Amino acid sequence: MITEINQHIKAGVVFDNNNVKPKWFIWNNRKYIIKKITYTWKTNQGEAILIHFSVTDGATLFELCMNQKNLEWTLEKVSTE
Amino acid sequence: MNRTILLIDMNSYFASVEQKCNPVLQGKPVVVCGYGRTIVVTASYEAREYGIKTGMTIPEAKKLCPNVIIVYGNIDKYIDTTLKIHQILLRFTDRVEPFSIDECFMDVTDVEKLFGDGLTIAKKIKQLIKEELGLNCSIGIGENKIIAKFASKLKKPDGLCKIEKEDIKNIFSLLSVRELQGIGIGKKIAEKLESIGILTAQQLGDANLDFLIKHFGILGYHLKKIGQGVDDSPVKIYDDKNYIKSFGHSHTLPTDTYDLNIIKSYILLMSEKVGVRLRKENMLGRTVSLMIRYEDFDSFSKQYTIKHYIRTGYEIYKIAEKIFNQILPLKKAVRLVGVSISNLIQDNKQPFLFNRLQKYYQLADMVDSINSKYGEFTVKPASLIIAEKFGILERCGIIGTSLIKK
Repeated sequence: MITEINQHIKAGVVFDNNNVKPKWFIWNNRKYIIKKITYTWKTNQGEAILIHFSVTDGATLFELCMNQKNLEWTLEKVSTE
Repeated sequence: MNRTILLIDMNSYFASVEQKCNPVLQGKPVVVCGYGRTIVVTASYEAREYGIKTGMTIPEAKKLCPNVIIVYGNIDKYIDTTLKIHQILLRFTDRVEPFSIDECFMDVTDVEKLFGDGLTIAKKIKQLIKEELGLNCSIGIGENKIIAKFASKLKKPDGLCKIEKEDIKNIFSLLSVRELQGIGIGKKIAEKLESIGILTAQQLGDANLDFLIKHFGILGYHLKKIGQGVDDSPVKIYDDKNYIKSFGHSHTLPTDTYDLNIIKSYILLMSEKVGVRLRKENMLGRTVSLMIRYEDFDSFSKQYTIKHYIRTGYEIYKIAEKIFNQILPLKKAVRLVGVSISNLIQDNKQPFLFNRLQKYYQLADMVDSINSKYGEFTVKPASLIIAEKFGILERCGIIGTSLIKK
């Protein structure tokens, strides 16, 4: 079941060979360690490029989004079985 | 000179992307549908084993497979993936021509000396798409687009098939005209061919040209060539805009409606989106088409050609509205609205005779400039709020192939 969240989050990120890899994020005062980035894709919002990440902590699938212009991170969706 | 043409066809594309995004879905029957709507857009191969097909309703799919998993599609994800696939193909040649969001032609004739023959290149492409994106494709190889496309259908999923020139006649002698669907022949044409006694591709290729023209008009020339497996059309260079024939957008409404204000607001929304793309590609058009799909999936479609060329959403809307008024009063609720413009030429930015028109077009350019900086429809016609309040599904529009190129 997919739930839309669309809340700003704090994210810990590694910049590796021109790639951005989120490693953890904090949502509702809880820290989630990202075990795997399953997919990435880009969209545009005006001038801003948004990079979307489908990630899992091993139990739950999350969709995160990074705004390249203002470097804000958003938790867009949560998917639970 | 013999050409080597490839057709790359992504397998169960949208469903495969969703299964890659969410590993829990892998190996399970998955269908992708529009948000809030109930038609299967794509079914995974696991779902297809239950008989689930594109175009089926969700209740029908659930009857066949109660455990089917429904995923709402995200077209932005698929477009971005398509662009990544194009970048892989462009490593081999610039003769890459998108045919749809999940199919692409390539002409590798000139690069076989560099990368190996068609089969070698195709195997490498399959490997790269699998390694870099985790997706499978089927590739057909032939001496022209028709043969390559037909070959791609023979082995799915994850197939690779080459049809040699000398085998074309034999293969086509066994093919029914129904099997030519999707290779230049639609369902209705196939049915009509059968009704006039043409049942196989070979019969189509051998048919008297005057007979075909009598039943199909100028299309008869094209049909005869398809029956013979002949197609001289080139694979265009990737950045070539010359083949853009039209721009269109359509949107399925969140719920079916008779409300004219809502429907007209959506027609305006589609017209504005078409206008934006037209101006982005620096083009003008003068034939506007409107498509309305009703609650029972019956459709109305009509086009109107004006004498002068236009480029703004409002101008497109006024013509679409004129077409729409012809079908009033509505006898059925409306489910989908689509607007497109064709009969295109390049915009050479000729100054207008009347200052009012010049200012109007300058205003459209300024709005484009603001929206490209801050986001689509940051500035918009006020009446679009009606459509927004009714509901804009997550992503709206049919994607013309010109949009799925960087």
